[in-house]
Amino acid sequence: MKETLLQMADIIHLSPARQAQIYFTVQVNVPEKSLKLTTASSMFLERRSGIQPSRIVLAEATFHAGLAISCLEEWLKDQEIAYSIKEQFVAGHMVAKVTLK
Amino acid sequence: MTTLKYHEQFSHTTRSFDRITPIDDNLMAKINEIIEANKHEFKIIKLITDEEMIEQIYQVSDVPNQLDEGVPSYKKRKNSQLLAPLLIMLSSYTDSGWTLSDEQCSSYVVGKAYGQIGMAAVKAGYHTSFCICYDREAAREIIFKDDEANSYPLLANSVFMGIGKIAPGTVPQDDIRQDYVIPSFIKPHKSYINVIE
Repeated sequence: MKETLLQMADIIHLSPARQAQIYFTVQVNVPEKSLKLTTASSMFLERRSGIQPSRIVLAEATFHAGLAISCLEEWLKDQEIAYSIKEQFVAGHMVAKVTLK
Repeated sequence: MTTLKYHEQFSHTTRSFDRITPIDDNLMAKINEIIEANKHEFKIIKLITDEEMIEQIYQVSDVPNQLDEGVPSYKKRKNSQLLAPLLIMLSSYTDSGWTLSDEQCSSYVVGKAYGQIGMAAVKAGYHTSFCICYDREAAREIIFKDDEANSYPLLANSVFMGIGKIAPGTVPQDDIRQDYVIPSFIKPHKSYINVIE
């Protein structure tokens, strides 16, 4: 189970969200059999495109969160691994939690 | 190709598309199916195959200098990731993370749709690309020039996705328009991943 969860984290890391280390925090909880991805405030867009409102920074991070989670779901389906997913906004941040069954 | 290889390929964008070979009907059907399932989340849905239009969008793009973010070397140029036989623009309703109406995450859904489309494309033998750095107003005029009644601003988080076969004799890092190879760089650290045992 732990190995599967770590592979899931690797798939997130491998997704086209190249700046994942800035966009997200990822928590792998082995006892819970879950992986939780949360968008993180960052300076990414400010550094690249000049000062941007924080909501736009979050929008780009949120876009990449969707990209990463869809890659993870594709991988889980390909591996025929049963899972559930809960996607919601918490305090302005996208949180996606994938729990293995 | 193994599942992991599909993901590895999708993680690398392509700058050297074969623009002659169109997207096959099966993949186009799959793309349309993915878009249809989420279409209420998208303010803009454009599937662009017109070569002249794609060239015009390319001309209003640029490549940012990301030396500070660990991307090695920089050469001022247009973004050849746009020079694909198919360009997709799915844009959310707002440039915040969620829609005005129901707080569902529109940007998130756009990202998920692009991910599903990208993985479907890679599994079907195609390559993919993304471009977020272009002149928003100029691109808007280009993509809505025959559809002004439905014109809508391209937002800061509006991203083009390219899909196509890779040009023969090239690697994804080749810039198809310039004698330039974009060097690969080591993926960033994993310190953002926390494991609770």
